[in-house]
Amino acid sequence: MKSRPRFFWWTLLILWPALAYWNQSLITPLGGIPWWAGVGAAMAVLVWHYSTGQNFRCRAVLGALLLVWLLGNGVVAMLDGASSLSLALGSDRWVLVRQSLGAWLWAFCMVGWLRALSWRFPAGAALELAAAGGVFVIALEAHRDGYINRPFQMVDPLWLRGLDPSALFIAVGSLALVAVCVLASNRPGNRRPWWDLPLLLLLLMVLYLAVPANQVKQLFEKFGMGKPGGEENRLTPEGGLKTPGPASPNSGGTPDPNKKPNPDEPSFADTSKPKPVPVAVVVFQDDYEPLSGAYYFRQTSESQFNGIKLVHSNDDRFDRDNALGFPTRFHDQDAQPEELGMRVPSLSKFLFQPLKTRVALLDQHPRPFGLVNPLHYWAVSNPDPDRFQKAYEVESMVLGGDYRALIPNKAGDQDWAADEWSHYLAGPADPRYKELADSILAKVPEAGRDSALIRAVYIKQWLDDNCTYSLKSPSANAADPVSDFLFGQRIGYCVFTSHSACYLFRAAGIPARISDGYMVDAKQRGGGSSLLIRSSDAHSWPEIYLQDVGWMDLDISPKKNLEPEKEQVDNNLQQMMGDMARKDKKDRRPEENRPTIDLHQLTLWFLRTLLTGLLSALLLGWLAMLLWKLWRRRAPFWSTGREQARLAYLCVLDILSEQGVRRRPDESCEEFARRMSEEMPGLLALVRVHLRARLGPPQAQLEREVMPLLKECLSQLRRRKVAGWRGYLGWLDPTSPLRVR
Amino acid sequence: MTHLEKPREVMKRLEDRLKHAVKGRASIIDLVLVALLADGHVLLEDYPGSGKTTLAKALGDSIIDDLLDDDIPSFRRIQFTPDLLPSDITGVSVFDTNSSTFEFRRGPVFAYIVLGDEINRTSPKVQSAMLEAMAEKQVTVDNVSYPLDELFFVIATQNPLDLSGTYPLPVAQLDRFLFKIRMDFIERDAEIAVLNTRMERAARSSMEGLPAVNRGEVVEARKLIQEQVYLHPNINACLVDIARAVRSHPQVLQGMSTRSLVLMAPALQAAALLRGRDYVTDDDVQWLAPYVFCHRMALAPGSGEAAQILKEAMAPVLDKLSRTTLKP
Repeated sequence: MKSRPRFFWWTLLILWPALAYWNQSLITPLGGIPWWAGVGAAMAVLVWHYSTGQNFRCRAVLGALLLVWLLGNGVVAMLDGASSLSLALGSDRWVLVRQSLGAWLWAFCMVGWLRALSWRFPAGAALELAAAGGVFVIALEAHRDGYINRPFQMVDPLWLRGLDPSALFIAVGSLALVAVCVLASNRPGNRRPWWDLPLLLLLLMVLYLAVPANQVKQLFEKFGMGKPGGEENRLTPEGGLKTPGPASPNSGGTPDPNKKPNPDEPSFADTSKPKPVPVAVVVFQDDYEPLSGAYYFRQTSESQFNGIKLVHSNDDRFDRDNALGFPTRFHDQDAQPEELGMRVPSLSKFLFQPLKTRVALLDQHPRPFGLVNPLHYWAVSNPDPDRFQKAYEVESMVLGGDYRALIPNKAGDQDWAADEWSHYLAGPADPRYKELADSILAKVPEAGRDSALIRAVYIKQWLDDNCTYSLKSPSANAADPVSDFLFGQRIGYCVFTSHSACYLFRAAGIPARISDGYMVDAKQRGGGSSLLIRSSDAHSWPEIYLQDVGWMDLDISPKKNLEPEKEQVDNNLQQMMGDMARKDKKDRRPEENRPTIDLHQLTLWFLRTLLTGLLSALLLGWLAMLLWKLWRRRAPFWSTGREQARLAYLCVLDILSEQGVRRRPDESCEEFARRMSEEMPGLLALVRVHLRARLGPPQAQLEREVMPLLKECLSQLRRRKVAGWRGYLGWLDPTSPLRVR
Repeated sequence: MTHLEKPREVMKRLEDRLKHAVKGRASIIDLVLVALLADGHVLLEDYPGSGKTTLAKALGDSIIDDLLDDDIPSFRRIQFTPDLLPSDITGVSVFDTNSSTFEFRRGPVFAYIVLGDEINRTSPKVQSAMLEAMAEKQVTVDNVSYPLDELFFVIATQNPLDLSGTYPLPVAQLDRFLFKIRMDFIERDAEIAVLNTRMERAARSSMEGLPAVNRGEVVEARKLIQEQVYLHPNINACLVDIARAVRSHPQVLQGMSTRSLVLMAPALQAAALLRGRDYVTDDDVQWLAPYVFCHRMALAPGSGEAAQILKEAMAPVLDKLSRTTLKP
């Protein structure tokens, strides 16, 4: 009977349940089933531990476990037959119970068998090692041939968060080796050679060296992921990966432009409607519900009237509250908005509150956009270069409170010069605009006549009531599309409505302009913090200027809509993308490629650190030992009495040990002294003095003075001829005092 | 050492005389002296003509009988033969017709030093009579016990070869002997010296110049040695550890008895004094252990030498003792 395992059995108590849990969780991650497997394994280890002291035959143990297995399965099958139980529990709960029981039985019996066999036969130990290794192999099976980006539940969460899973594989591999080491060292004592653990650790190192990093392949072709950070590596709105095709530059299916993928210059040209593509993910850093019921992300603004439509103003003074380019500066309180060519009008601190958002662009974009009103742009590092083109942070001033608070605000800015006023009020010469505006404003109650906002709202509401939204507009090809739209059928999309509104606002004396960007319904956020912007969200809307409020969006949403409802964004996808965009990598430049983990370099670094540490530890230890040795050399001169005899003898033994002479284990001290008596006649007397102090009568005085004896011995030692290197370098040997016996 | 001057002196004188009489047997003389002063008996295993009678005789000659009225001689030799009877050793009651009473005639065991030659040649009956005398220091004849002298020391011999028709001593009886000493042939120089000094030693007058010791001095020395030579508890612990190590050795059927450990103690003390110390060290243990323990061990068939097993068992224990003396 082998003796009971003393030291390592509790490591098994951790290891086997963990392995059982893992294995089950890969098969059925449902509910508590893996936990039951873990419990079963733990019980098996406990039963094994407490049964090793008893005199059970191996066959009996294996048979008993088989019996438990059969009985357990029989009971489960019987309960299956009893329909009342599954009725009482509910069939889904019954399935859970049944599976948990099965997992428990499986883990208990398997671990019990393996342990029993491994404790008794060397081949059993090999079987157990193979089983433990098998758990890891099964877990990693999908990643065979070095592919690390197969979709698999182990790596997917990492990929989605933009992390390189190489580290995970290294960790899993290390864990596997640790598990194997633990199991190997749990064999019965008489079969465990001392070099077990060092050998296994060496194996670990060799494995690290043998798997070069370039064998780690990424399976892009098969799953159509393309190269990391490549064009085609984008997510489709369905959450799947887009199959790479010829990347068309005009794939952005915005309703207005089909010549350009961005909503920069609106045009009245009609477009077909391709499938919407995700454009960006916006992560809100605070909760915010817009007053208007939709989030507006402004990219550009047009206020220059060119006779037909509004275009970008070339004048430096107008519409400078939009960024001209992407931010390059990382988050910094001192970053001035002017850096991006921005000039933001002063906004009332009482009406606005700051809100930070992070935008991660999924597609190429000519310039940044931000939630109105963007104040500062900051660069952030790309959280996942495989997914995102770019990411930046925007600090916006968002309108809070209530529209009613804005009623007294005057239109325009008092500080504007006359040409600025005329710039923002310029409109078509067609008198019908003025007439229409006047007829609408005539309905405004007396009290509201002075309020710019109320007047603007009346115009907006008229347009809401009288326009029809459609992506196909009969006015699209007219010479003057806006007047054709407004004084015609009034069927069109945002470009028409915004221009119409803008011209009417201007006719009513309210400074207005058109802004382009994206508009997302507030409902789409669904309580989460992220918002997915699709190409179909591209929009242009009219804005009016109020004193202390600046440019405020006042969008037209026609009541009649000929278009079908927009496809809903999958909220899970939206949140997942938000999670990916949120990951911060502080130490990385936005455009930098992700550094890959090089196993070779890691191993070399590890080895180098290990070697340096070992060498310095050795050096330090050597110095300390030399000091200790020196102290032992001097100690007899600093002590008295019986202790002095011992220290003197030790001192002589030290020197002899340094010279390569030591007492043999089967020799007594006196025999040793007699052996040495030819060269050192003084030693025997010293030994006698020492031994009498240690083994003699308790109160006895020292037989002789120690010091003269010691000096005699030392002088004899000095005269002693020492052969070989010890004669010169013996004092460098730090281990000589350790070998004194 | 003041109290031990006298025993040391006694030892020195005996040593000088014996070493003069027997050449080349210094180590055996030391062991015999240790046994004499430890109140034990010695079994010599050697070949005929190796000087054991000379040794025993010289020892007898060296002890002067200072109790003249007890009529006990200092040396007797018994040659054991198969037809010997116990009364031939112990003595016999003889009917005196003059006084009409039984008078006890003392046998040869009534001596200070008794040489029992070839003790394995005689029947177990006689062996046990001899062994009773050795253990109890008395003989019983016709239900009357007669005490032997306090200084009763037996040197028995047996021939290791030529075992046919012998009655080998069982382990229980070997236990009566403190030492069992196996003698080897002496060295060349010593053997030459034996031949060269043949004439002088034959005259037996050569020892005349060397001082002998009194019986009383030896008895006194025994007492003083046991009282005055210090036996450290660590040494006792060491003896027990050796015994336990031997007992647990897989090739040992029966290890040494506790009695042997008890007998070992005075032997160690005598050995320490012989080497000029008033305390016992591991060196003494190492020296005496084979002579004391080997004949008390029963080994499994096919095992090696008892001495080798003992050495293996003893080395770590003694090494540990030596190491502990180096520790503070």
